[in-house]
Amino acid sequence: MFGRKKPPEHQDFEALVCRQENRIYRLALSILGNVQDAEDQTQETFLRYLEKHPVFENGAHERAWLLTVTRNGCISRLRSKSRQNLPLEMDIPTPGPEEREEIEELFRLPAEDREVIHLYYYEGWSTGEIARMTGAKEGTVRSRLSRARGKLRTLLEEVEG
Amino acid sequence: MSTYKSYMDRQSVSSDLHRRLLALEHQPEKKEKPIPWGRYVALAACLCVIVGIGWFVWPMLGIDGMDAAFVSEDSSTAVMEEIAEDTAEEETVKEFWDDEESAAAEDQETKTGTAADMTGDSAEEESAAEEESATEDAPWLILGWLPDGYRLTESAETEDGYALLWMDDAGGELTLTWHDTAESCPETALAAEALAETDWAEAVRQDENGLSVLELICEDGWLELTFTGDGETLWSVANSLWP
Repeated sequence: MFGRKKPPEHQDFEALVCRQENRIYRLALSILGNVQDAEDQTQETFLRYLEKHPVFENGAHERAWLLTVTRNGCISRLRSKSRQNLPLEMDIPTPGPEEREEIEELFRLPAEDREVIHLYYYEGWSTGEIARMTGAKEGTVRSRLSRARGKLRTLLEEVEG
Repeated sequence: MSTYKSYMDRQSVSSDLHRRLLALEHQPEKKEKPIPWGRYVALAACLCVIVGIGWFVWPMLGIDGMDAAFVSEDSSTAVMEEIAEDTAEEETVKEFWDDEESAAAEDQETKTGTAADMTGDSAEEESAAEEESATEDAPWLILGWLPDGYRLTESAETEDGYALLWMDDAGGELTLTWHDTAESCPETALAAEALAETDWAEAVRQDENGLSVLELICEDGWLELTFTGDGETLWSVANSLWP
């Protein structure tokens, strides 16, 4: 799927970083819920790119590769912390007063739900694309999305109530 | 979700991280570790030396490695038979000691009774001791197996017709002491409570009630033991007193 070659000259790493760094960082932040971990994972993703030197067919291919590597790296980090019984500390940039409740409740959802919400609502991926990325069935992604929305709705109703 | 979108739109990498990311390209690439061929070669050489030494030293130890490695089915059967024989011998020895202990206890009781009733005839005691030693030294024969799993064994000193009959099972032993003839066999020699669950034991209880159920014939060193009840032979065994 992804070719492995020496980095072609036309691929400018600096341009790639400028193009994708925020996208990668935001996905990592949404899954990990921690600024420091998200930054580390962003750096890890670009290091992985430099190691593998993938050749992308187009922009979508490039984006999908980078986000998949980021997502997998985030899952590994979460598993590693879970194995070491390290606390998953939430440390996200402070939201504005009008969005505070919704953002805080959203980050209280499990990481797998936050991942699906981010890819679906923010990145605009279809459930099929998310399924291919996560290795899950499309039905599973849909149900996870529905469950995440339901949880978020319940959490917000509790806060408002 | 518009709130989430607007929140995430504001999130971006810090300038410090941006600089670090751009610097990644100029970092020296991680070189793949070379395969440690030298280590593998050294390991193989050590293995060859060990095998070579073993090849020469093994025959010197006098161990037939080939025989040990290839055990045929016949040889394994022979080994199993040997083990079975050994086990049987061990069981016999164990039974002997078990029986010996019971005999000793019974003799102790006899001695106590004798001491209480009589005034200590040392000659009789000596002859009794001789008989005891003769009995202990006499071989134990398995006369047969009763239908309910009890086994009858005997130790006999035949010069005066003295015989000890033991009947035991896995849970213990039952003792029948018999001298010369069936008439002298004590009626309570068989523990009725221990045999009450068997047909044969019922016959013995009849014996305790005065019915003739036990007959013993000794001819030319042969012992025949017959249990009868209600005129029918319930069980009979015959065996030589000497192996």
